[in-house]
Amino acid sequence: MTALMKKRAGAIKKLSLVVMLAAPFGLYLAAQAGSSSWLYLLLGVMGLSMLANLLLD
Amino acid sequence: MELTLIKWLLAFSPIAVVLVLMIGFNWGGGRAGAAGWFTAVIVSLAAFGATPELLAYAQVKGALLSLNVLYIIWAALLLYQVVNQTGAIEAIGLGIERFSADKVIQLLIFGWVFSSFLQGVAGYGVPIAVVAPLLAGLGFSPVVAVAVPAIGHSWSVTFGSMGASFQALMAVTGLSEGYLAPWSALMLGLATFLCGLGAVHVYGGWRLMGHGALALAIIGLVMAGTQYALATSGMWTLGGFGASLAGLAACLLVARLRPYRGAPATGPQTGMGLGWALSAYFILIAVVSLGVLAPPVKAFLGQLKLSLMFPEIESTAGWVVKAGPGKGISVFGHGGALLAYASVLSYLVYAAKGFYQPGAWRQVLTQTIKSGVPTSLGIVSMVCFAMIMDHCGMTHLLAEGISQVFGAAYPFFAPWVGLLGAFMTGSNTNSNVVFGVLQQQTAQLAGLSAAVILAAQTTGGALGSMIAPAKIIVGCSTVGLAGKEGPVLRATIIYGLIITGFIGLATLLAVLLSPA
Repeated sequence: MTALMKKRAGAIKKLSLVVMLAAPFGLYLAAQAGSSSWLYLLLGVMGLSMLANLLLD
Repeated sequence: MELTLIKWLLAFSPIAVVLVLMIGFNWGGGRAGAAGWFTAVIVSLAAFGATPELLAYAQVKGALLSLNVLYIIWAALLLYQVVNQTGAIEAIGLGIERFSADKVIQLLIFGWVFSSFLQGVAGYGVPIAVVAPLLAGLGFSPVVAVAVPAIGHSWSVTFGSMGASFQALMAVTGLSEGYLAPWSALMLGLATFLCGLGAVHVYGGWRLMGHGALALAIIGLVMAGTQYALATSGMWTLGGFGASLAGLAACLLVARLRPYRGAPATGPQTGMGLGWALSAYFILIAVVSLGVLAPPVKAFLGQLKLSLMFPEIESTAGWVVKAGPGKGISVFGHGGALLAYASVLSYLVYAAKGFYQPGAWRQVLTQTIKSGVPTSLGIVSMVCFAMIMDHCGMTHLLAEGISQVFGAAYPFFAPWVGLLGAFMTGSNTNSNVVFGVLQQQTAQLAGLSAAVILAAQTTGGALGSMIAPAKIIVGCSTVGLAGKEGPVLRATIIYGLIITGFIGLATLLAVLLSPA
């Protein structure tokens, strides 16, 4: 992995951490409002963050 | 929910995935946790009746729980960097080395007693995060430096953190401290000695255990005895704190005994004396003691608390999670906040004494973020998948399976259930919350003493601290092993299983002595 790729991977990991901690509060609001479209969207975002975490070593 | 072998194996699959990836393939906690999260999501949707709404609420509770833990971790990493940038870690290592050149005594002071003291006043991974770099500075290998405090502090978890885990056990079971404390303190007292033995053995094997036997016996007796006295006299909130404080005093005496005295080591001097090097930890003790033990200060700092209310959640398989508040965060009174105050004060003290190079604060922040991100990713993913398992009844099914399969031998396996809960969530408190009622009901159905079985539960939960990936990740991040947690987990898991086995045997004996 080149230095640039490592830097990008580091930035994506930081972003994914922020998303993993922030998205659940959006999920809370979506669940309270009964908005299933937002619920699926934010669960997808959570999944993408986890995927980034899984794929970027 | 019907218990079948297939269902039990499915419920176990997320944990199995994490174990295999971390232990077998040396994956870091962040990657393995993400794999466990995907496994938990797929299995919960396919076999345990999870709904998008259930998953959403589980993630919110997971985020709240994670923030509680991360608050402490980030503040502990900040404190460590504040100290480290001055060269104080190296100075502490050299100072202790001069105080006692005996490696076993150094190991016991830091890895067994000081780590337990930190558990008493803070907890949540702080003992490993703070002590691991200190041991590495003393010349112990990074794996040993993390494994020793992980094993050494576990006995003090239940009555540490101002008794938070014991409080949780009383809250969920509705049983009194007078009923629960004696057996819990006895079993944790046994664990005190076993954790000390494990800490020495992981470093030097059987040979050094013989050398350390006298120190282990004296210090262990002081700590276990003090904990029992405090727990059974109504002062259980101070059980871990008081026991380890007495242990620190005992260490000073033991270090002067003939087998451990020896010639003080002579090594390079640093520009900082031991007193100044340790000043950040004195400040930490003062700030945390004030914030926890002084009621007016505690009340003042605890005024702003963030929490969310959750409705009743039901899976399509019929598993119900009752309505109630999530894990609240006391913004200014949280352990993490106290650590942050100590970090800022320590920085000001060191800066006033001129121990920093120009622009050191930038290095402090950069290094804190560098080690904090991988650690946090591991914790968030682990806690989130543990919450999914909890909200679908998977965790309950695992414990139920264990209790049904082992029947009359159940007391032996009671601590293993506690261990499982702490392994998954990284918390003795969560383990007690999740499994406390199940253990209580199982004990009552089997005609066993609930006090004994619940003591085994909380002791197993405490011992789970030494194998909880969430805590191992924290320690590894402070000694340059971030993303390489597998070897440490491989080392601690052996001791965790052996000590839990001993506690299981003690539980079998105890149910014979104490009928329901």
